[in-house]
Amino acid sequence: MQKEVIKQTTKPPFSLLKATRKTHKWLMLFLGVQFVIWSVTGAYMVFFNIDYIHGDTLVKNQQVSLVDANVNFSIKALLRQYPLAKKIELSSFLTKPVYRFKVGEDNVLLDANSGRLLSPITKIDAVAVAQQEYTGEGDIVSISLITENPPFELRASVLPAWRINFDDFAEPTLYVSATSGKIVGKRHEFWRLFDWIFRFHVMDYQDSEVDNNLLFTFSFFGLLAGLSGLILLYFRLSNKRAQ
Amino acid sequence: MTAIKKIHKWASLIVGLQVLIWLGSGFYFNLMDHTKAKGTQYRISNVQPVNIEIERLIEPEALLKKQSEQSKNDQNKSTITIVSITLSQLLSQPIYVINQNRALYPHFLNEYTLVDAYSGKEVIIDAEKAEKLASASYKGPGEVINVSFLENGNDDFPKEQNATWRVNYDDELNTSIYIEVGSGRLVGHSNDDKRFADFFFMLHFMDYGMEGNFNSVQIILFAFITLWLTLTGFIWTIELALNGQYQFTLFSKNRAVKLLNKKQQPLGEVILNAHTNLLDGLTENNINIPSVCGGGGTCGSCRILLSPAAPINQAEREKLSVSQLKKGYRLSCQQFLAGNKTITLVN
Repeated sequence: MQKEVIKQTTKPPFSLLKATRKTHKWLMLFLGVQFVIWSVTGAYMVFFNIDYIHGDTLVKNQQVSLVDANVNFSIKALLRQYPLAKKIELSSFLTKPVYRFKVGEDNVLLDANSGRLLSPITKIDAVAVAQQEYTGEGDIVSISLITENPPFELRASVLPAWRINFDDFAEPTLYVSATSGKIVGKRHEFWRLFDWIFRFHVMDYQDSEVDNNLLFTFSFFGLLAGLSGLILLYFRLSNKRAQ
Repeated sequence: MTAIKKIHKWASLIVGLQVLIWLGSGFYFNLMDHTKAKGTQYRISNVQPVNIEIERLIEPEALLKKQSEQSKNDQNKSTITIVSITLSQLLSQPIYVINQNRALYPHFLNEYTLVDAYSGKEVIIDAEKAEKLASASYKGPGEVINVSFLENGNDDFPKEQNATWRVNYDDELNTSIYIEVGSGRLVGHSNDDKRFADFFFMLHFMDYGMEGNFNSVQIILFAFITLWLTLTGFIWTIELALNGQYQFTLFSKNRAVKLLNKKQQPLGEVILNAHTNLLDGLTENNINIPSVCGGGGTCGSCRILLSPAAPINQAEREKLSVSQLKKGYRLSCQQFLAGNKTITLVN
């Protein structure tokens, strides 16, 4: 029998189905892992209430009233002693009425009854502030004073600060400013994880910015991959109906 | 694998459009002008501090005393707390901001009373004051069109829980400035640039109720289904890779193979690429094998007959019967040239 080679005479017609299947298959080979990362990190961020993530449940935010408190040191005396004082606030520190204000970049804490300088606060007072505000039951496991090189979770502008770690679920930490005596940071493992999760979500592995080139490339091709997926879905559903 | 593919299909049917919206809005966040999106084009950043005449100041202690007296004389014995008194300024007027209820953040519900720091007289932020405060923070070319009172929340700053005054300007960006009623605090500037970006955030967070967060029921549900979509897709991709479906056609060799019809009669030869699946390879040679799914291994209609020794994968196990497999029936979209010398077309 005669052998005959079937020759390609015309190009096969363009098939949208085949083209989209190839596009989806090949794009997802490179983007698939990032789609999983996007959905897992996105799910984490939406599943946990953002106020919980921000540690709002870690502190009582006690309202200590100043009415009937002894405030014998006058604001006039304060301004004469510290002419550069800014943002002067009469509030409370533990149970005492105090003046808090700024001189340049520095916080100053004064006893509002005696005018005595309280800043920087002692370790004992820092612990007392943390215990007064902390909502949990756990004991304190460690106390340290941070004066430089703050961890990622603490803004450098609030230094120096006492770091107080509690022995509770999700390893809560309260940061108490050593100069103002205020709570300046509250963290637990879910927030610490959230920070990383966010960076993975926006594909930022350097400085927490959304406008990086990596995200540009992945979201651009991701759009193509997603669109091709939707076209495939259309084919799959319409064929089902035809059969 | 059938279950995996089914889940992938149904999950994409439910969340597919939203996934595209997530990708599109995410792409927009990557490209957008972040300075414009803040809405602060016409905002003056630093306020001129007033010179305080120390001798004219009334003492915060006097304010506490006054409150203490009032509480004592009050028939209802209602106690009012004062959490803090802050020396501040309203335009050029020194004031004390008395905070009766201090929330964790300024945008959470707070309670304030303002008094003149010289006279002790109460200061109310009315529409006129709000307009002056707003204009003191504004450097744009517009004039004030109107001032309106918003009891709770506003669309430009959905997180703000306190009552605000909204001051609208007639500049080209439709700037709106928000002033907190209780404290006179500048909540922020908004304009059409910010609103445009906020629209995309609203879409990305599925925050249709403008709650100012991304914890709504609808997004939790969609995120949950999307997890199923991506994880099944991931497994599917691995399955394709294990089946050798990812092969580059470049650098691969072409070889001729004999074609037979149903009755095992020769039809001739075609030249196929070793790295192209048989369905695609035959289609390129104008030999049309029926396929509904386009090579996904989900419809089972692209059957061909190879030798019984040809490898069998999961898709073929699901779409072909045991006896068919034993005879050498396979799905052309799942097979490659490999060692095959003849291909029998059955349809």
